[in-house]
Amino acid sequence: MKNYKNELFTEKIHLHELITKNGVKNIYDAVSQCTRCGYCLESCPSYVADKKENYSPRGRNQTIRMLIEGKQKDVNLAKDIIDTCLLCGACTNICYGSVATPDITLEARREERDFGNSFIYKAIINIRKKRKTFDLILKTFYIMHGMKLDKLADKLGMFDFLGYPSLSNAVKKLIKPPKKFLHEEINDLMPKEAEKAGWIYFLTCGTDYMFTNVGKSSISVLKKIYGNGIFMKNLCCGLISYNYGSLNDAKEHALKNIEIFEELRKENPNAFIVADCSSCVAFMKSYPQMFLGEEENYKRALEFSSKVKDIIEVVKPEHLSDIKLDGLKDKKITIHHSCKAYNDQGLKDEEEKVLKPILKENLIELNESNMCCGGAGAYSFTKPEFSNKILYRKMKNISETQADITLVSSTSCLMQMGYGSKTHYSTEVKHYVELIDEILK
Amino acid sequence: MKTSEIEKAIEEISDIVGYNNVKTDEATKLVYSYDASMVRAKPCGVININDIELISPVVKVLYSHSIPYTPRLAGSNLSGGATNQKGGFIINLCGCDKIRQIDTLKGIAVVEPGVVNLKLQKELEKFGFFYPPDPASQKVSTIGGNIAENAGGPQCLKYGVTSNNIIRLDVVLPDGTEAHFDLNDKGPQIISLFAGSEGTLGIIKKAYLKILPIPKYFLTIYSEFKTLEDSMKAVTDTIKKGIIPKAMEVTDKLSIKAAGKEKEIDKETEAMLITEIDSDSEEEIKSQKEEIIKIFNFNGALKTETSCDKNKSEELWKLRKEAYPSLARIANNILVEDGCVPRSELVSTVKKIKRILEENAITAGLVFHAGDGNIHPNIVFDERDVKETNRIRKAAKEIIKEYITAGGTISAEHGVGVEKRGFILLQHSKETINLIRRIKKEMDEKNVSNPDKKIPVRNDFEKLERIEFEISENVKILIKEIKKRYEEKIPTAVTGYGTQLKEIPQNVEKIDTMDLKKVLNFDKDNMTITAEAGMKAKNLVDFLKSEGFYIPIPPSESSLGGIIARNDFLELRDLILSMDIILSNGEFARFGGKNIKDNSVYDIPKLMIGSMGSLGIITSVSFKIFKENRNFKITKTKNEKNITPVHIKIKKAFDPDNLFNPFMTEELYGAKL
Repeated sequence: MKNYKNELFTEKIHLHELITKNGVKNIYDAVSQCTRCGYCLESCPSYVADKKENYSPRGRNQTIRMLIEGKQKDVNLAKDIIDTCLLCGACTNICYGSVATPDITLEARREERDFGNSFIYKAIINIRKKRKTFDLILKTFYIMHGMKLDKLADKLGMFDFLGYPSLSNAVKKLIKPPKKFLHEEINDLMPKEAEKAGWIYFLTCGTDYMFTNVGKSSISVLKKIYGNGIFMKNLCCGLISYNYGSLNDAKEHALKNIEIFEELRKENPNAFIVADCSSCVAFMKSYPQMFLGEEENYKRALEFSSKVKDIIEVVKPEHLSDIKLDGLKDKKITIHHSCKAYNDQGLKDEEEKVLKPILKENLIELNESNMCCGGAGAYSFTKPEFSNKILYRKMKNISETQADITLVSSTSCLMQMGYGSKTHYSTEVKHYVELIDEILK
Repeated sequence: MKTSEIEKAIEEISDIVGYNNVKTDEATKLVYSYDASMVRAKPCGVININDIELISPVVKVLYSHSIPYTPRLAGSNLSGGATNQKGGFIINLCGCDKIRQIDTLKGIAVVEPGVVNLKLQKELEKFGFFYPPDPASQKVSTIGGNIAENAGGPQCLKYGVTSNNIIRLDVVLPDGTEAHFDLNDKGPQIISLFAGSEGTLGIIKKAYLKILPIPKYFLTIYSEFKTLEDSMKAVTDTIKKGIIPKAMEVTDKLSIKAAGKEKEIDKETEAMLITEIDSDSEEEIKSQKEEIIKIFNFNGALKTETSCDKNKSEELWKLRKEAYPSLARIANNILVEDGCVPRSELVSTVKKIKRILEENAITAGLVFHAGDGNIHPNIVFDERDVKETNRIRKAAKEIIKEYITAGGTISAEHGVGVEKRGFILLQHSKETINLIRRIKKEMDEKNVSNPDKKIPVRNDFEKLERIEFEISENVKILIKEIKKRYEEKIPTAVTGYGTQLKEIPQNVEKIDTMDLKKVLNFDKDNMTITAEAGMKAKNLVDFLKSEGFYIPIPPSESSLGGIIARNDFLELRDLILSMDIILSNGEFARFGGKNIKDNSVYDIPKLMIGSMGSLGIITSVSFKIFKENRNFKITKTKNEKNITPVHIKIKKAFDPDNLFNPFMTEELYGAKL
């Protein structure tokens, strides 16, 4: 084994080690765990969409292994293979060796020539530092969207002209924007008593800027079930930077959030952190991986991540035990398991356990419920062709259930499947916690 | 291969499948340079075909430019069969994944090659039906791949392997011509050649599969034994008793240790056996359950647990199903050295394998499809460590040699591909291999259809000493006579008792197998019998009856050879395990042994069914036998005329001088030689 480099890349901007289900491994060892059995193939949304090895987890692992071994010379030549991964983690979940394909693939992606150089990414990251400016720009954009100016721009081919054809897809998938962002009104929603809080609400970007109702529902549900809680006044979890730009930026965000938590914990020693976007939650649960080798920060991250909870795991069957259902009686409901809850956090049937006793036969099982919807963060904008194929498969499965309501737990799914409900099969796409809130009312 | 030829072919093929579906970029070539084995070979490009009607035109182009190609599906192949050794094209057929029809009235499912096995099962479940072959890879492996490798799985103990579950195949031949083959075809049973042919004889375009209603009741029996031997004995005793469970799977302690489940089993336990029975009769399940538990206890079972509840049964299966995954967690690579021995040799072979593993300081879990005599040592290693890999390879070869000397086979259900083609030289004789080569040569003159797979490329024959049946004196006399006639080019009319051949042309001399009527081998533990071809069916049935056994062949005055040559009934093929044949040049070739599964070379014994003596003289046959008549079906073969371009090629490969039953050549093969 001495003949090979033990790490994928030598530059600082990469993670050199990963926390896998088989312990901490460097990238080469982690990727070599893939025995090429191919059992992952049918679980991978990009593979089933196109049935080519190029778009399979095995293909990605082998490509990266060949990059490390020098058999594949340039990562940019394999860009198509690396970039089409949704990072959904279905492969790791089904793999006998639990090979950490998404993590490995992301590290390879960091080496690509244009990784983190996107104008849009940079603009977002820079402007976001000044929250008020960011809010203003976004609101202006929402107003333009309301006036359908963005669609006009699309029709005129302006996005193509600017070199951002993916924006065209983004505009189509944009939901009805909120009038107020959640951070602007959250203080009015939180419990008035702030002492000895049982929970700390982490506001994710998707909830804050797009799906404010989800956040309102979360707070309302948490109040009912767990009583006193506080708003974390957190920063972005850092996932955007982690996946699309700078690892250092992601670490900075993580450390800031950890710091905020450590401060709050002094007053509220038993409180857990809770958020309502499974992608952000899963990422926060994986914070320690970014700090491997940094003893102190690793410990802090470990402590932080052990306190993070997904909203779908804090609602338990007993919380809804004596509920009488009125409004939902005739509605058929199905559950799409957001990848980051099911695959990354291992939350496989929390929603069923709660809803089955109440909804009974009205809760319909969804075929391939844990297969990604094609949203996957910015994937639906950057790989629209794949994303739409994957969405089609998802909506087809939902249409088989004839469900009136489809439940999800990630804001990316809300946007993607919300779009699907307008183009493929009309079903009301909701966050799980919105339904719980409705039931508790 | 000239680059200019490849470029021309790419142009032409792009016109057929579209430019987007022909990929020659480096990254794509690299991801098609491997399969699930250790073999690596970079192709010159990949052709994606999403419509089965495009297979033939594409293959025609490749053939015309003499460019080698490898059909590929999920690439879960464990022997290197899905890589292209000659730098030719990979034809990716995964996009051809439609289930064309499910017909429960006729018991047929019609599918394209890319249909994933489990996906078909799920569709069939909606109708209350199932397709029996259930390879461990069924989540990803496809029907096309299953047919190419003649895949098995746990439940083939009762229902047979892939070959036993196909009815008709639509095939694109190596030169691009299309043909279909059916079990009811008149003449040699060519359909049987394709199951296990590993893409060397053509590409499956459409398959008509046998489907069965899911039995109403099932029962899972979990048991633990003090020694591996005890568990195997329990297996053979169960089968000897006349019970044929759906599956009987043995896992050894090492695998359980690797799974970290040592605490869940008894301290004394060395092996666990999981058995599943199914039936439409609750009564039968009950009586079999009692019988099996009695047998297990007699063989020293430490504990037994049963369940007919689906969830509980899954729990019972868990340890067995964890055997492979748990190894995957502790190691980077697993080599599964698949092989099969007669059930009666299973215990002694396993002992030898354990010794080899110990001597070479190798960690491996042993898993068996015990009811079939199919052994899977799962050897763990890291292929990045060259020294370790070499050590593993050396030990693997020793294990393979043990399979062979026990009268077993080098491949039960994982194919031969590249990994095992050299071992063919150890198991089979020069005569057998030469015939196999002639068949490949006739059917694929340019050697373009998945070349260098399945068939050894070297010529250093060194057949190992192995447990085999003898050749009787009478056969030796026949061989001598045929050799003489071959030298003098005297045509022969091959007959059993001479009842079938009425008029024989004057220049043809008769030969019969009347004197070949001995039982060569009767293995009660293995539940097989090997009899000479001249034996009357009635006599075989009577002999077995006197010994307390049964074979579902009508007890007629016909010779066994005659029944096979005429293809009397469809179920006959499921009984035949091996065959000895005298070819028209006087060569004696043996195919298979007393093994329930054998995928080492083309399935010649089944090809001989219906050949009417025109391909060779069958001298002996091995059959599966049973303890009692379990209402076996006998379906008369329709013998419908369906002559394809393959027919005359098969005749040429066996009998190039047209010496055996030459007067039938035109009728059976559609051409004169």
